[in-house]
Amino acid sequence: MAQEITVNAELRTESGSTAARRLRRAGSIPAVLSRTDGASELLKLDSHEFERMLSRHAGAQLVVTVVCGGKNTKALLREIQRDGLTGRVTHADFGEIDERHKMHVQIPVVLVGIPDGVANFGGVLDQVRHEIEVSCLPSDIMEKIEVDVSGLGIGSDITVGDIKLDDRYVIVTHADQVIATVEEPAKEEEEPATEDTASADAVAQPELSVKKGSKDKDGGGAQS
Amino acid sequence: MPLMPKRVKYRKVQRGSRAGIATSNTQLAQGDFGLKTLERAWITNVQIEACRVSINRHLKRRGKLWIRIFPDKPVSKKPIEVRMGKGKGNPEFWVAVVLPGTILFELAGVPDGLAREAFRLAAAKLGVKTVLVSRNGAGQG
Repeated sequence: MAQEITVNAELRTESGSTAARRLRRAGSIPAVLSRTDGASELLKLDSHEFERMLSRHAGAQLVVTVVCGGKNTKALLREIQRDGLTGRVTHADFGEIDERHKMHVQIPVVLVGIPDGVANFGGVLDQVRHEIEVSCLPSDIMEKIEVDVSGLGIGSDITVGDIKLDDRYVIVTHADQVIATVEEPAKEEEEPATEDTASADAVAQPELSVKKGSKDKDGGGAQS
Repeated sequence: MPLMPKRVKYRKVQRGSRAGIATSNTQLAQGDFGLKTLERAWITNVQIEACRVSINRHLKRRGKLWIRIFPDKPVSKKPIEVRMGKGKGNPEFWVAVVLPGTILFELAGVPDGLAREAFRLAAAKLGVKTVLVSRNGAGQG
């Protein structure tokens, strides 16, 4: 379990997209905290403080303590929405944790070491899966899972089944799912004269999926 | 050979809208680094090919490249010195419509500096402002 992370929040009364936009302009992030009894609370977080906290932690799903109105709530940061253009956080979704029950969380996979196939044979390490789903108690949630890939040769891979965790964790993601693989180096490309290809491409046209005969019947003379 | 569809339903299409910002293809899907556009544009298949070639030449067979856009829109043009009218021109080239926030290319298996330089070279082939995004948080995204 990583160190405790505190998130300062305030209650908000306004909801809806206009109010949320107003909040973001004022330097806050709208958030929601879902209680275990099904109720939910609307919160707002300080944008700068929250982004700084996120930049210091690797995991997408973190266990945090939400401090709101003098009350501390242990919660899981379930989802963060980001602006597609700027990358800024636009919304955060917290879920209250029941310490006695196991829960499913996505834990990032971090590859450690340089694979043999990359170091000695010029292969390319491809990390196919960046997170795996694990079931565990909230107190056992870890920030990342480190996977040693130094033994991987060209064409070999590491699957979810190869990850060994202790008894506190149950891996939910299917064991056959590939986490990382080492691929053969890209082949040397033959590069034909650029101008020739450019002129050839101007002429090349894809075929039509609609039959030409049926078009003619309908009077689609523009197709010919 | 530059990218283009193998089969299409219609040879010519209208220009369409380029309004708004990207809502899909805004996050890294496979790679560790990505090149994201900050502007809206029609990226031609020749531009995409030029970017691919420049990235691959710089990487020297290292790393893996994904092209996240596909030029599926035909652009027609009238021949020069032809009077207006007499119908729409012939399809001349293919473009991919990109909106601000779209990831254009992704790279994996290369160090930060190499990816940065490869994307700088590729970005020079495009007429749009771009930014490098990475999985570990350097840059945006």
